[in-house]
Amino acid sequence: MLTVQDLSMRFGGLQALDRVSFTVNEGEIVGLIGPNGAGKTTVFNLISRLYDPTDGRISFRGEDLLRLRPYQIVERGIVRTFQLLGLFPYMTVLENLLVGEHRDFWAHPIAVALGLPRARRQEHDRRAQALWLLRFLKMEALADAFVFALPYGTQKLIELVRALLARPRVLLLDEPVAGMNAAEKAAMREFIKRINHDWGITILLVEHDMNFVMGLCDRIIVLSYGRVIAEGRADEVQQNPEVIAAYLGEGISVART
Amino acid sequence: MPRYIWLAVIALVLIVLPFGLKGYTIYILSLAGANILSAVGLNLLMGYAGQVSIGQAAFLAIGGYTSALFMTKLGLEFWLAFPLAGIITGVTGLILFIPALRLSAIYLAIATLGFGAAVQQLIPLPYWSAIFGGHQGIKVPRPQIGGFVFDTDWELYYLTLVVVVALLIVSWNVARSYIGRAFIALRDKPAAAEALGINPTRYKAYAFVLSAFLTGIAGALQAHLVGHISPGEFGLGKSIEIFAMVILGGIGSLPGSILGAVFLTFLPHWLAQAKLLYTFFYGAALVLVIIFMPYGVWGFFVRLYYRFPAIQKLFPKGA
Repeated sequence: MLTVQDLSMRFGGLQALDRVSFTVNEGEIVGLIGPNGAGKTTVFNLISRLYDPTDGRISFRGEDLLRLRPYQIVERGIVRTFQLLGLFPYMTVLENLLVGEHRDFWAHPIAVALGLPRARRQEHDRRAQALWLLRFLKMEALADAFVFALPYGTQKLIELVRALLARPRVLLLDEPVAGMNAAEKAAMREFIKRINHDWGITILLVEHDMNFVMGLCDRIIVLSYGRVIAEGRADEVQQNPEVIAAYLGEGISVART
Repeated sequence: MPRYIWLAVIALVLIVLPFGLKGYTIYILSLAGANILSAVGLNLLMGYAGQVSIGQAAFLAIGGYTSALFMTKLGLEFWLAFPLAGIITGVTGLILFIPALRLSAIYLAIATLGFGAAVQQLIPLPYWSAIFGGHQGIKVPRPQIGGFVFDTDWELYYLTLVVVVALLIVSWNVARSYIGRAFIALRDKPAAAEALGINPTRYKAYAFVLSAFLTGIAGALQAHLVGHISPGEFGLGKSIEIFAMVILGGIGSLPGSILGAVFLTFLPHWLAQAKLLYTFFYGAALVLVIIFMPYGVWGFFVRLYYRFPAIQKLFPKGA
């Protein structure tokens, strides 16, 4: 479904990615892990077209993604979240969610300016959709809260909800549980499983929390210094000596962390 | 429901306002109306879309000259020349949009400064003084619709009121729509905004065109109110004045821009008695507001509202 082939990225003298290749199949939950600076977020930024790769190819459902502009990616069904939050802090939760629905707003600017019925109806329908999802997730009390005033974990969750409103086929989650406590992490794990299982959304995620990744992902890709050093199921990756070396140095089992 | 009551009260006050006022005050009030449109136009561009412009006076000039010349030189009716002035100015907004695609905040501000200076310098050149009237400027005909000529302060006030209210509704519609949200999204988190499908080029263009349109109408309105237009009115000082209205009222708040525009239009007239000390008081007033109301006058009111429950009872939320 999503194919990355021989992807290289160089920032000045730094080789951030070195011929990285992997595939994400429809319906999978794939984890992208690796020590700090391994190039995980760079992969996300390349898929979402924030950077142009030095070399390599990215294709989605047979289409060359490198020919698209960043704002066109969402129309193909690829939606991402950001490591350091991509929420708009001075908007309310509901307004943030409405930006998530941006691709479903098509009313002409003139119709919007004049307040024509079709523009009003569209705004009304999109609000109803966002509120429906908030109610479904039992978060409707937050609708009019300003985002910057909410706890970090809640903001992470809102960003995920916003991504869902953009109707993704593939969701790219950049550290979805960073900074969360154990209970929040468990809730997030269940939520991601549900999104994947019930709604059929494919998931590629970057995360530092090993327990979280191991318990959630169907398949794991390990990056180190810009190269893929291992790929496979959680138990396979855990036993891989190169992975153990990259993470902890020789002789210590990853399973214990 | 209380919201509609308050709107009705405000509408009633605006309609009966001229009855108790001197002709000159009514005239200043109309000029405040034009300034409201300039301030709202800049606020949408700067407060919402995050694009700083200190060349807005150029759009006032373009709007003013266009409406005046379309009536006098092309013989167009007011009702046609006036909106066309806004539309043509709106299109010239794209001139600033092109550098905005490449320049960020402070550099764009310099580019707009250059644009403002260029327009002010171009108008009085001798090559076209037969049209633009050089430094002396030209007379601007009174607005006329059908056989009715708006030539008293009262009539001009009501014309201004209709134009300003209509365009405030337009601005409000845009600010509260997906377009206004796209402006804010691109301002605060451009990467996240783009990842959600917001085309930055398109929305920057919208912001510049809308801002220039509103300012062009403001310029045309001002020209018709004053009855005369000359390049001297559109210097850097005027651009800064519009800038100050937005900052004073509260950046990113449309009601704030209305307050800022009205306040800064009347302030010089209140201070007129002070004569030589006028500029001192003007500057002092600005500094005091910036120090004690860092979020602008409107932001100050909003904070009072949340601080004192008694006010919340008087003005329920949403009003």
